[in-house]
Amino acid sequence: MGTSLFLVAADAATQGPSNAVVVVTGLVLVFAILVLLMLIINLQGAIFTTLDKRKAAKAAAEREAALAAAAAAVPKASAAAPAAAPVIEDGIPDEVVAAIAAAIASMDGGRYTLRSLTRKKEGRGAWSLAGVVSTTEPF
Amino acid sequence: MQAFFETIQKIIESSGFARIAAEPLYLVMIVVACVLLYLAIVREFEPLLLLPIAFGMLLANLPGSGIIHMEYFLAPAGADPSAYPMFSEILHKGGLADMLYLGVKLGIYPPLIFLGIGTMTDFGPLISNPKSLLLGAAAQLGIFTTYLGARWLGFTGPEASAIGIIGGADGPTAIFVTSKLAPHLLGSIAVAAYSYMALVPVIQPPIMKVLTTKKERQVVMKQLRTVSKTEKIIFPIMCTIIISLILPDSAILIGMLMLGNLMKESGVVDRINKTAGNELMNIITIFLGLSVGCTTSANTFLTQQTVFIVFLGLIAFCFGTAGGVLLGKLMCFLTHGQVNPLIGSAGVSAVPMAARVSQKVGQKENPQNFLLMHAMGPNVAGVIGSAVAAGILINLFS
Repeated sequence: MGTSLFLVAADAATQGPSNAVVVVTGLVLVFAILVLLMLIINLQGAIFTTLDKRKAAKAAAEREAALAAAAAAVPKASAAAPAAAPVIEDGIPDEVVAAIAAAIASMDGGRYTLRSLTRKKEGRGAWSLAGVVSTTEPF
Repeated sequence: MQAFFETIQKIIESSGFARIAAEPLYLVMIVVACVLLYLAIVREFEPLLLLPIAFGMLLANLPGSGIIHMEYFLAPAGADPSAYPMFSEILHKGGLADMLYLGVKLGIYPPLIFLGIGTMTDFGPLISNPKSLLLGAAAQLGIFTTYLGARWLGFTGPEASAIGIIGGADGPTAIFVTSKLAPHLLGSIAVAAYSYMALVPVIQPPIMKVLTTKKERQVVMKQLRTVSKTEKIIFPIMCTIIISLILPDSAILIGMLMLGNLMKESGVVDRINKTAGNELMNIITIFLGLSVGCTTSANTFLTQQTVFIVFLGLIAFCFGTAGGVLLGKLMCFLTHGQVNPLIGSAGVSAVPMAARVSQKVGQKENPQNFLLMHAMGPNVAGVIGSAVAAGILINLFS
């Protein structure tokens, strides 16, 4: 008992490394290896995010081109003035806008137009929250 | 008639009862085994391993059972260590427990357990938030502070390393390192490691609360990004290559963990994936628990060293938890409140118990806060971190 912690250069009994060497080497190496892994995962994440964005942009461009082609193929309504494009909050996908607009149109027979679309509030809704609580409750 | 009584007397003299009377320490060990069985069955303290360990302890301490021959495995002072384990003696004279213990001694069971753990681990939260790795690294502080404590209490370097690894809160890693560096302490270290792992929900919350403010505990973290299947497949391959090249001593632990995970994520080997995560792991768990329990004899277990190990194990868990939470606090400060420091405590491994503790403590402060998946990142990072620390300690002392 009472072995000096940092002054011993080498363990006399086992000829092993000193306590300071073990602790410093251990902590530094653990951090260094995990930091290296972190950097590589970050790099991998950045590569995959860029690839996903490119894919999404390409898909969006193809979709727009298809829509434009379809619009050109349909004859214009004679008297009706073109409706103004609805104001959509950032982050709401086109599919959601289309689904909501279609729901309004099917309910009111075309009397109303979707002018703007904004999220009601941030965070989980009551049903979503209830679902998460019931899933994580056993933990 | 006299011959009859003589025979009866001989039987009584050779019975376990007579030997217990001669050496009451056996009785103490039987009581300790029964207490551990109680903890495993009634309190459900890591029952999958504590139950076979405790029963192995019971069997090994029934006088006269001769269930294991530790003299074939441990070189006495002054003997040539290269002659141990004595394979010829084990194969010719050994029994079931001797054969099973070979799997521990040769470091076979812990990597196979890691294979099974790999099939059940989702590295998605870690890949999604790579900063979790820092928390997993910080929680290894417990290993190295306990190493110092053990040295101060008079343990040798290899013994102190084996005791320190309890702080990794990873049973197979603790057994792996101990079997390599201090096999004579295996029983005490395994019992301490698994008991404290079961006590994580009791040990961690007070430390987490003391080291964090109410505001920090209420931090709601952003939802994690979705990780693609390709990323999940690349991760185990990349991890194995990098860590094994830097630290070849960790190769077998990390390699088997990642092999199991690759089997899961690739989705092309469903049959062997299920076997590794279920039947194989269950079989190895029985072998490992029983053989580790059999190594505990009164003269090695009922010592001052065991008391020190139990005490140091607690210190290891406390420092590991504190290390993770403190780095979590630092990350919270640097990111202006984007990181909840409570997830740092999950860096001590003990998957998934430590992550559940983060979730519970966080939800107590804010019922709408769900930290479980955020805490799974540091939790699995802790498994990698403790395997890396194990490799470092084996490299330094073997």
